[in-house]
Parts: sequence; structure tokens; C-alpha cells
Amino acid sequence: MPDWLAQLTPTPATGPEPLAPATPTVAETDLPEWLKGFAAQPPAPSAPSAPVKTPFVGEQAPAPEELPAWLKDISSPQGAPPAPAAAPQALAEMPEWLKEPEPPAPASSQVAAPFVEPVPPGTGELPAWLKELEPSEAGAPRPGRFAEAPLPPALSVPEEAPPPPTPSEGGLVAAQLPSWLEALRPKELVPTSTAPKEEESAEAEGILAGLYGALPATTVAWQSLGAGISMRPEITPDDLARAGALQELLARGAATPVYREGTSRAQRLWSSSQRLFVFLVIAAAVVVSLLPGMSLGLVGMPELAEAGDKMYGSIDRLKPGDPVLVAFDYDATQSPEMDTQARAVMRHLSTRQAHVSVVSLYAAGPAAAQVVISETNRLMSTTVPFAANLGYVPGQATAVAFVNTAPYSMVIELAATPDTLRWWAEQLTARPGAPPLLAGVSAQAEPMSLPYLQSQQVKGMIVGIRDAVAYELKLGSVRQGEEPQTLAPLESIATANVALIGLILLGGLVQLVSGSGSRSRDGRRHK
Amino acid sequence: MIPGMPGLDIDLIGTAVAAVLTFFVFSYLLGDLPGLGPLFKFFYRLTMHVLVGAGVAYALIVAWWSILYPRVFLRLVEARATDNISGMGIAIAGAVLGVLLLTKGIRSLAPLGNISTAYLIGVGIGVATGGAVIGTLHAQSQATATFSSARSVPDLLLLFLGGLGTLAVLASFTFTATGRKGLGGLWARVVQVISVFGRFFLYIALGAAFAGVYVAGVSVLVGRLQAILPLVLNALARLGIWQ
Repeated sequence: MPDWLAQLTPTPATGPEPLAPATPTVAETDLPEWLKGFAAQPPAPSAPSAPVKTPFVGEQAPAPEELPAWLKDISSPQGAPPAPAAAPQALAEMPEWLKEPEPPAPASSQVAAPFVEPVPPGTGELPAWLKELEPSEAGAPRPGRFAEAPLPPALSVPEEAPPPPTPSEGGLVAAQLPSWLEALRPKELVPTSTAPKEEESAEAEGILAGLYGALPATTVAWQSLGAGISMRPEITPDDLARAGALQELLARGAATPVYREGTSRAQRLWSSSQRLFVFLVIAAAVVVSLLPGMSLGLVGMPELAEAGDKMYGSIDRLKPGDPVLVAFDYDATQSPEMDTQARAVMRHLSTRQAHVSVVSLYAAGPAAAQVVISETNRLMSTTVPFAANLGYVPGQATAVAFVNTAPYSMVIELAATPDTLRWWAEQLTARPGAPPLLAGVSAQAEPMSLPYLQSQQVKGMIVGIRDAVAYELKLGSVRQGEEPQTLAPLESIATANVALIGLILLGGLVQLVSGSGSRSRDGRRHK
Repeated sequence: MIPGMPGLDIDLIGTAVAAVLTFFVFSYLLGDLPGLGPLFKFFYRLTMHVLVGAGVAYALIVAWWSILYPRVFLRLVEARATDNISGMGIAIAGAVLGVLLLTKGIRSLAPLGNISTAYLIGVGIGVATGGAVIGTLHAQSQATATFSSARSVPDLLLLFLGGLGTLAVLASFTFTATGRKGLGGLWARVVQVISVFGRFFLYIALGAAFAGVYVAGVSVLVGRLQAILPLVLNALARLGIWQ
């Protein structure tokens, strides 16, 4: 037992003093009649060290004859030790409950009885509700109403005296801790025999771990929340299955590309040489057709398709001075293909003496447009620029919506991607009275652009280098003897196509042979 | 001609630089060669850096001379000169929104840029949605459903095929639950059968798109080679290799 706790242990000399004063300090005249007799008597011998069950101050002690039978039984327990032999004579005049000597207090546990119910007054003075608490049988004290409610260990009073302490080996006596103090003992030090019951809900975590009944209100609180809440919910098999699938997904981690470590340098070199071989074959096919006098004659004179004819006719019907808006929606990366179309269209517009305004939805578009404008000016030998480069128009589709197209006779869109043509087609269709839209698109934009041509949202269209060359030929801008040079790009593309077809066939053949070889090896391995 | 340097043409120098850079780009194909491979990769990266740097610098200049200077600075000056309060307010509002957009690069100030972003997205979606509904959805649906343009049996067959292909492709992107019974199950099977045809049309469309990309790529290659070939041939002629 610690020192601070030992100080709390009552000793016979320093036992708790009764709340009623032992020595009257009040004047004799103030005393009642029944107490005056006590004042004249010599003082009673000192009471035993055990605390005395005294009534509260101010309560009148009942007369012995007024005590009920059950209270008399309480005041004279059978197991009580006999009164000391040197009892004072005055005890004879004392009431019965005072005459009874207090039981000896060998156990310190009896100290913990600070709250004792006052002795009820006489039966005749009992109220009705208290009369009901009387024992049904004489001599059998009926427990009070509060006796049924379990008190927390800290407030409970032991009904039975604990067994006397047994000396240990070292001569020390094991302290008898009260139950509320016993509950504060760390869980690790609690012997098995003295461990509280499971129903007392020991705390499992936190600083209260190991304490039993430290938070008794939690049980009541959980119960008050309804039966649907449980600290141990049941997990259905479906939930377990879903949790397992999620766990598997989390454990799998991100899919990362796995490179084969066994790939040798020779294999990598072979793989890269294949790409180099394809490039060299196509480059050779392209270059050979571009060399002077090396034409293979794969292509003839191209002619404009119906859509190209419509475009040509629309431009050809322009009157001198008609304003035309041309959008150069491509940059330097697509200019080798798109410049061919732009040169043909701009030359045609120049011959019709149209007033051309150039815009671009690309930031790099005005530079590409300026190259074509300068070249056209040089070819047409015009001193006055026929086209005004208005520059970059930011905003993509929004910019198209806010471009004022009312003054123009037509809009010509030179699109390397289908997006810009779609923006122009959509916004001009949504605008009543908009000028007709013509388009020159790259080969890659053709599949997505044809629907707007078939729906008549685009009135005319040329596609790729082939239509550009056909446009140039129809325009008559190709001089006598320059036809092979004009047709060289088409010849080059046609040769590249033939080379590509040959590569596809060769690759398929190699794959067929190598695939059959690997299958046969696998078959032998399985056998 | 370059002053003080007779015989040197600026166009010739430009063509030569373009030819060298073009070969540097092609050198990417030789990057895996043993020995000189890293050198070829270095040339390729050098060209890419030149392209990106020149592109950014050009875009910056265009942004100033095409947008900021004429549409903000000049408008403010003109509006101030003519006491045009509304014009000045519009120019200032645009400038403020533009400056707020720059705060998106600073984490602590990034929420301020949401105002400009919201304005851009709101206007963009409004314009794009109107154009898409009127200019594409309605117009294309009308064109697909119009049989009056069919002047012959092949045209009629083509239109029918187009309509069927459109519906089949749309059905191929419809996902229905399998294993259902009744009308729902019957409809799911019908959609599955139609989606097979839809995927067939999709394969054709994707093949045509890939062919167009290939032709465009070859066209660009032809254009580049056509631009640098005269220079190379002249150089070879001077060396006596080519006549």
C-alpha cells in the first residue's frame, strides 16, 4: 500500500470523528430534556476505533420504544461482539441503539462507509412510501429501493468483511484495497483470480486500457442509440467478397510496362534496322521520282473531282474587287502539303482580282500565309499586294463565331485538321446569311470533312496534293514543259505507295514464314 | 544577297539550314546504331530544341503584335483619346482577366485565375454547343435522312448504306446487360447484332483515316525532299558527282 494511501487508513487514535459532538458545548439550558441527563453523567469510555453509525446532526434520535422491530434487529446483529465489561452505568439510560457497542473495527475496509442512511424515526411517523419499505417479516431487513441498483465499484460498500490479511514471506501484510482502488490497478498486474468479470467491459485502448467500468455510461449510450448499432457488426459474405476484390486490386498496384531483360543488343539492332529499312525504301521511292528524268510514269494528268470543280467554279465567278476571306489554318509542319493547295487557290484569286483578307486560327498560321502571299506576288508580278494578312485570331471556335463574315463574298478554309473546318462549318451554318464556305483540306482531314461537303455546308473542296495539282493544271498556270515537274510530287507519292504495298506484302510473307516456323517448333516441343 | 558578302544569298543559307535540320530530324532513325547512335540522337534533340524554342519565341511575338498591342494597348489609348468609357472598360476588363489567368501558375494565387478560366469555359461551351447542335447534329442528321438528293439507284443505295452505317455505329457504342429475359433481352440481342455491323463500319472508317494520315505524312516528306533536293543536287554537281 502506498504511503499516501496508508495515511488514509483510520487508526484508533485518529479515527473519523463522529459528526455529532461528543462533548456538549452548548449551554445546558439549550439542551433538551432527554439530553440533560447525559450531561450530568461522566463521560463515556472512548468508543472503539470503528466508526460509529451516527445520525446526522440535527436529527432527533428516536426513543428505543419507538424503534421498529426491524431496526432493532439491525442495531443488534447476532454476530456482534459482546459489550465491553467496563460499560458505564449511564449506558443503562441510553437508548438501545446507543447502548449497543460498536463492533470492533479490525478491518480497515469499514472505513469506507461515509454514506449511511439515517435511522428512520418511529414507525408511527413514517410516511406511506417508507412504510412500504418495511420488511415483510420481522427480523429480515428488507433491502431498500437503492439497494437493487448496482453501485459502481467506487461507491459500493462491502457487505462482508474481507478475510484478514495473511502475512507474506517478507513479513509484510498484503494490503486490502477497496474495490474501487482495485479497479485502478493496471491490467498486467491484476491476478487472474481477482480479475473482474467480462461483463464489466474493460477498456481496450487509450489511457484507460485495462480499467474495468471506467466508462460505465458508454454501455447505456450505445443501448440508447437503438438496436441497429452494434460495436461488432456482422459482415456479410458479399461484403467480404467485395473487400477481397478491392484488396486484390490495391495489392496489384499500377501496371508498369515490363521490358524484357533478355533482349540482346543484336535483337535491338535488328529491330531498329527494320525501321531504318522501311524508311530507306520509302525515301528512295520518293527521291527517285523527284529526280529529273526519273519519272516512272505511274500517274497521268489528274482531273478535278466534282467537289473541286465546284470550288473552282465558285472562285472563277468572282468579280474583280469581291472581298474574300481566306483562313490559313495550318502551321509549318503541314505546309509542304497545304502550301500546294494555297498557292493554287491564291493564284486563282489573284487572277480574279479579288480583295483577299487572310486570317488564321493558328498562331503560326500567319507566317505560313505570308510565305504563300509573297510567292504569289512574285509569280503574278504584282506591285500592289492583293492580300491583307490580318494575322492570328485567338479563340478557335469562339473566334470563328465573332469574325464578321458579312462583308465577304466567300470564305475559303485551308485546313490541315478536320477540327478547324468543323468550327467554320458549324458557325457559318448557324449564322443566317453567311457567305458560302469552300475548303482545301489535307489528306488526313478528308474522311472527317466529307460529311460537311455532302451536307452542302461546304460548297466545294479540294483534297491533298493531287487535287492541288489538278487545280493548277485546270487553272493553266503550268507552263509548257513544266508538267513533269508539276506532276513530280504525285509521282513520288504514287511510288511511295507502291513501295509501301511491297513492304506490306514482304512483311506478311516474313511473318507467315516465321510464324509457321515458330508454330512447328512449338509443336515439336509439346510432343 | 548579303551586303559585303557577294555570292551568298540569304535564301540559299536558309535552304541550307533547313536541309541540315531536316537531316538531323531524320537522324533519329539512326539513333540505335552502335557507335554513332548517341550522336544522331543528339542531333535530333538539338533540332527539337530549336523547333520548340523558335516556336515559343514566335508565339510570344505574335501574342504581343497581334493581340496585346492592337487589342488592349491601342484600344486603351484610343478610348482615352475619345473619352470612350465603355471601350476603355472593355479593354481594362480583358486585360485584368488576362492578368488573372497568369496567376494559375502560382499555387497560392491560383484561385484568382478561376475567374478567367470560368469566363473562357463558359463562353467556349456556349459557342461550341450552339454550333455543334445547329451546324453538326441537326445538319448532319438532316443530310443523312434526306433521300431527295438521290438521283439514281446507286445514290439511293449509298444513302441507305450511310443511314444504316450511322445507326449501326451508334449501336456499337450501346452497352446492354446480357442475360435478361423478355423484351429487354430481345432488344439486347438486336443491339448486339447491329453493333457487329457497326464495328465493321468503324473498321473501314479507321482504315480510311489511317490511310489519310499516311498519305499526308508522305506528302510532307515529298514536300521537304522537294525543297532540299535542288540544293543537294547543286552541291553534288559542283563536286562532279551529279550532272
